[in-house]
Amino acid sequence: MRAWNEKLRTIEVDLEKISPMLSDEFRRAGQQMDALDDATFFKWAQDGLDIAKHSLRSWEAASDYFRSTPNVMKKLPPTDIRLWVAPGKDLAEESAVLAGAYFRASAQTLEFLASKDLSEWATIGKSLYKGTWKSTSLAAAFYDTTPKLAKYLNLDEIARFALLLDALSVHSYDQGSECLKMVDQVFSSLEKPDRQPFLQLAAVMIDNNWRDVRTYLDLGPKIINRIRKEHRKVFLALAEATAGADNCSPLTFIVDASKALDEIAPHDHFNFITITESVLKKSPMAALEFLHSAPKVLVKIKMDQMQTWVNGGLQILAENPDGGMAYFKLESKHAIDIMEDISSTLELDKIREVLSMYCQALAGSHMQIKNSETLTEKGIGWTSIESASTEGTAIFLPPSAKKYPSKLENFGWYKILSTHQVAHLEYGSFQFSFGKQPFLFKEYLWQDLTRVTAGRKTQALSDIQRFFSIFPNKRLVSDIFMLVEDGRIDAQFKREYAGIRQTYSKIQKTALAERPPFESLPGQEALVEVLVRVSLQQGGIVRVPSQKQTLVRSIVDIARSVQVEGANVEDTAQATVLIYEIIAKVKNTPQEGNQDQSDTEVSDSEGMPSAEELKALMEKLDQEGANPKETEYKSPQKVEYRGEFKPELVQALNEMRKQNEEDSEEEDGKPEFDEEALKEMLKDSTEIEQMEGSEQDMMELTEEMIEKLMQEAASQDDQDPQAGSGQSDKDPNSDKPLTVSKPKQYLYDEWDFRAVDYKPRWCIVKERPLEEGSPDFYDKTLTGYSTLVAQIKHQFEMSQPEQFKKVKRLPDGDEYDFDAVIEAIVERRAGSTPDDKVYWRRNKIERDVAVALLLDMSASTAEAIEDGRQAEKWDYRNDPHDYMQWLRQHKEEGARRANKRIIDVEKESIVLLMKALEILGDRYAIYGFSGYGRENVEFYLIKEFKESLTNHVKARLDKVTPMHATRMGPAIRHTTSKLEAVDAKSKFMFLLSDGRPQDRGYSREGVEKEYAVHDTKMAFTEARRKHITPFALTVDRTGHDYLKTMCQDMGYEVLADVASLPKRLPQLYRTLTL
Amino acid sequence: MPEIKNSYKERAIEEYVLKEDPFYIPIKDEIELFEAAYEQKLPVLLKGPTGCGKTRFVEYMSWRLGRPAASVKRKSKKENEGERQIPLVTIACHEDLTASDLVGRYLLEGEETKWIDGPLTRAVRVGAICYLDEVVEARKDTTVLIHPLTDHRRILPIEKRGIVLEAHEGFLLVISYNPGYQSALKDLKQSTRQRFIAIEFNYPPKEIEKEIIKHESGVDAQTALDLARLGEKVRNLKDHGLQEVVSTRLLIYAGRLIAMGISPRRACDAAVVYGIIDDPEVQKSLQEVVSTIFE
Repeated sequence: MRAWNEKLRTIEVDLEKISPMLSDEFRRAGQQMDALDDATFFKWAQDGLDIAKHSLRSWEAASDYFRSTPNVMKKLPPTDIRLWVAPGKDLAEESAVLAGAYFRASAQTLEFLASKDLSEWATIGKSLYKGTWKSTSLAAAFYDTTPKLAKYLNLDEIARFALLLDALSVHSYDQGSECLKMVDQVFSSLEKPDRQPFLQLAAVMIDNNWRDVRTYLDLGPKIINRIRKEHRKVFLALAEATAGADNCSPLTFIVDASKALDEIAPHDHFNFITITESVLKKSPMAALEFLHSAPKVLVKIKMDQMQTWVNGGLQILAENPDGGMAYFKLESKHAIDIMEDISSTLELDKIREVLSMYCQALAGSHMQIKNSETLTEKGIGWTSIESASTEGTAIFLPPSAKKYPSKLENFGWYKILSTHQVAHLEYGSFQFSFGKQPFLFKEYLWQDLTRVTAGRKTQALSDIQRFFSIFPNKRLVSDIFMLVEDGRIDAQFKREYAGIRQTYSKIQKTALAERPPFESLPGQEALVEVLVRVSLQQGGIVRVPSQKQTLVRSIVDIARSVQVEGANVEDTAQATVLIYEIIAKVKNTPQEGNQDQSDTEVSDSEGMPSAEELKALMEKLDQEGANPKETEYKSPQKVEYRGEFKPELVQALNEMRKQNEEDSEEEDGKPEFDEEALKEMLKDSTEIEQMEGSEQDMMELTEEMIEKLMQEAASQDDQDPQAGSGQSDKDPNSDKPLTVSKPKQYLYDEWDFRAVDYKPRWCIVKERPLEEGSPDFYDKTLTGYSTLVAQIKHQFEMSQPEQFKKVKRLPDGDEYDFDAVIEAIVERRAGSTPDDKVYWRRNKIERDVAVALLLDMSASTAEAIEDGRQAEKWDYRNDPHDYMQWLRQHKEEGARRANKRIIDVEKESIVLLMKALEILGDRYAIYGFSGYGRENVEFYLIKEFKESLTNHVKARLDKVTPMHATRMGPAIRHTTSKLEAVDAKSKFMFLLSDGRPQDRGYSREGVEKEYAVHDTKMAFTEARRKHITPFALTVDRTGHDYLKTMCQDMGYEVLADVASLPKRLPQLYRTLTL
Repeated sequence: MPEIKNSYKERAIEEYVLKEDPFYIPIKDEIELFEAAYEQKLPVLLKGPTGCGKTRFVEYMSWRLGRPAASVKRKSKKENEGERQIPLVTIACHEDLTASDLVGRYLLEGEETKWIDGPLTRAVRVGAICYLDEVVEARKDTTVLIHPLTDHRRILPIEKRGIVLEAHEGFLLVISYNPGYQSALKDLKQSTRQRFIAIEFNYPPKEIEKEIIKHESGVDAQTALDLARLGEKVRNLKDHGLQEVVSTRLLIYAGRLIAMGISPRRACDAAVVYGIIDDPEVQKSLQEVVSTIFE
């Protein structure tokens, strides 16, 4: 117990004076500080008093000082007490709150910091203090939090963190204190080596993106932890480089980058980061876009090809920043093209047409090539998306091929896939019938089989089902049948088509290499495996156990026998019977380890085994006893190129279709299928077995499948191959190229004048006929403008071209041109050489014009033309004479004009022009367009080229009404493609509009209206390249400025007075085309 | 000086007779039909796609009808010399072919004009088979011109000279016509087509086509079969991408190229694929068919 000397008492009293609480604290603390010698103790007490006396509120700090001393002393050698007190005292001079916080946090902090670091720590805290109360509380919070910080960071790092806080507090103290609150959560999840770069990035962010810091602290650690350790440093350094760039921040960078990395295989991460770096060096913004599109690009190309693709973009970026951005956004045709070039993946869609014609040529009937997804979606028994198949009317192929490293080889793969399917059709795999005779096998055998099947009372849809139903093990028999049949058609095909023989053999060899070894398979399965090998035409020698040699020999011989020329599917069936009988008798037990192996030659056939040989074999097999180890028979591993072969299903479908047709001919409503037979077929079908579940489920599944099968058979499958496979109505906000999946929808690129490139597949044009209104409109208009009509009629009849023209002075012709003959004779008499062009003939001159009228049906055409004239009226008022003139004119036309909208005038002018065109006999089409957004460009058919002027056309014209926006580019492009399909010497396109092109998103970054004008201009240029003469007629009086750009190098006219349009349009047409 | 052999022969159009037996394999009863028509002086319309053997058929018939063996009764050589061979006048019609091109015209010769008979007039005079190939291509006035020749009158009026020519008894008018190929504008008028008996032609079946190709091009039987198979496959695409399919003639050309040592795939590309279509997609499809059939 310490002697409480005078000095100490004085201190106690002094403290008492300041606050009784303080002296209590002092006494309480004093009792626990026996370790200090008197001098030090006194100094300590004196310091406390000093602190307390310093200012009005410093007693609180002193109280903290006394209270925390005992705890601090536990961590601190007594000699070091000054190291702790001195900084505290300094702090107290600045702010009592700060000092208090310092004292309170010290004990815990000392768990991590050495006593010599205390003063530095105090200084760090003090640096946060700026004299304001906000800074005070931040600095105090810093001290409070230090124990947590120190748990993860060393003093140096703590200093950095404080610097960060300091910098942040320049912008916002709230942010700073919030960051402090997150300390535990942030640093607990960060690994030690990552902390320093993590903080560094945060520090960098302060300058430009200080608002992001808090979010960064929140998300950062999670993101960093998702990245491989060895890449983190580079990654963060990259993020750092984005700081200060426009529209890009380290935060967005790391968020996007981590998203991208999530979609990339881990072993590619490093390459990816390196590639990103190369983009980042040029443009951080482009790097950001690259991160967005990288996963999409990687679907098509491999990581090691990525740099090539990126380089393409960087090159453009260097020349044209906008173009480069579009490239990395995948909004540039160039980007897609390069990607396609590099990619070895081949999409079915790209080659669908080619393959479809190829298959059709081979099969001799209309063949659709479809995505195998569409078949599996039908839920009628096909399950694998990746394999090829056919259901009799179409060939189904996987959506893409990337098996081989080049497009060419992948195409070859597709070719083999489809060829095999075609071979099924060509060689009648689905034509099995008891009514036909086998080619090879003896008749009596066949008759036996027919009798057996006829005797059975199974209901069946097809002969093949009847055939399979004879056998107890349906799976085994269908496997045998398929393998023998596959072998037959492959052999047949290879025999007849020399060109594909080599490739086919190569693929077969590859398939053989992938086969499992016999030894690993139980008895029956091993024998079926032999069949697989035979069907793949394996040459040479197979090692099989000697005791099985005869068995194998027989099977090989039988299976081979149907691979000769002329064998048909009935032969396959007959061979199946024989092979089944052998294999079914074999026990499906695992093969014993060390059996004698002997070689069996499988490459050539010794011909069919004789009946006696087979009989002997059967008897021998019968003698083998039961074996408990027998397992259930499983189908062999699939041969990839053959895909799925389902003879029973296909034949059932065909049968149902046929029935369906017959029924519909009889017109007795719904067709009736033999549902029982279907059930029977599915009962033990492999299709159902593949799906696992209880018996109850099986029943339901079967029911469901029957229903679907019936639907399938009933459906007239004439749709477009792409129809129904999906919706094109994608997220309208998406920035990506679109796809169409419906008929009558067309994709067009859009021109980005800044990027100087097309945005690929950017707009969907939806084509549909316009509704029909009343046909009276047409005739009414003609009556209304009867004077004008008469005028037009006169003019156009006058200018109707002559059908025949007499051409004179020809070297050869119908008759002599007597003038020329006389001249020639005179010439000769005069001694000079006469001209021998002395004939004339009539030459037919055909006027061969096709014109498409494109009508702007945007909402703005709803404007009444009177409104438009309001301004004009005022203009005229300045000049009374003009005004009077205008007024007179106006009165004349007044009645007709009242409440007329621009669109009405447009319509009327079209009617008048149609009249003129009918007189001339020019071919013409009328289209309207409007729409909303790039995925909704509506294209209305009013009159197609091949249509004549029927009442329907007139009625449709009546329904021309203002709709939505004006996206001219795609409408012009679509019209161009329409005109292209017309065979005419001269082609024209007339665009009738009321203003500048505009639509949602029809601008650059939402501001640059020039974009739309340039796209339209490009669309016109494209038309001109296709030898179409475009002409734009607009009634927008302010039109001159943009039309000058839009219609550069082409004809256009701006009509000041809308009402003059009906008169002007036919006139214009005349001058242009005659 | 080495003697240069005159490698061309010149003769008047109406004197052109086929000396050698043209190779022709009948597919149906077309030979009997034609013989009967000739006997009865009924003009003949040959319908069929291009390159399926219409012209060859006419050549063959002109030789067959005129060959000595046709009349067994003739015995002495002298009489045989009197045997008339039937000349064949072939006129390929084009859109600028006018009536005067067929009938004839006045030509300036010295100080005066001289009438020159056109090929049709000559055929009428000498009693040849006059074959107007692709007749719908010609101008409309030519079809009117042949009307009086094709009914019972069998006359050819020549307005410019003011005469009417009665046809030689051996004269027969044969026209060919490729339905579907021409546009509706150029369809044959009913009043014209109903003056002819029509013999339909089509590409021969695979087996016969193989024989034809083998004979005409000199390739071996297997190659000929493969070419015939190619023909069959390509024709499957009629109206499914191809408007016009490959003709026997083109298959023979391919065969000839092969016989000259061109690789089969290349020969088929040159003679068949690029010959019939310009669309690159379809070309690709056809090339795939070729590469499936030929090594």
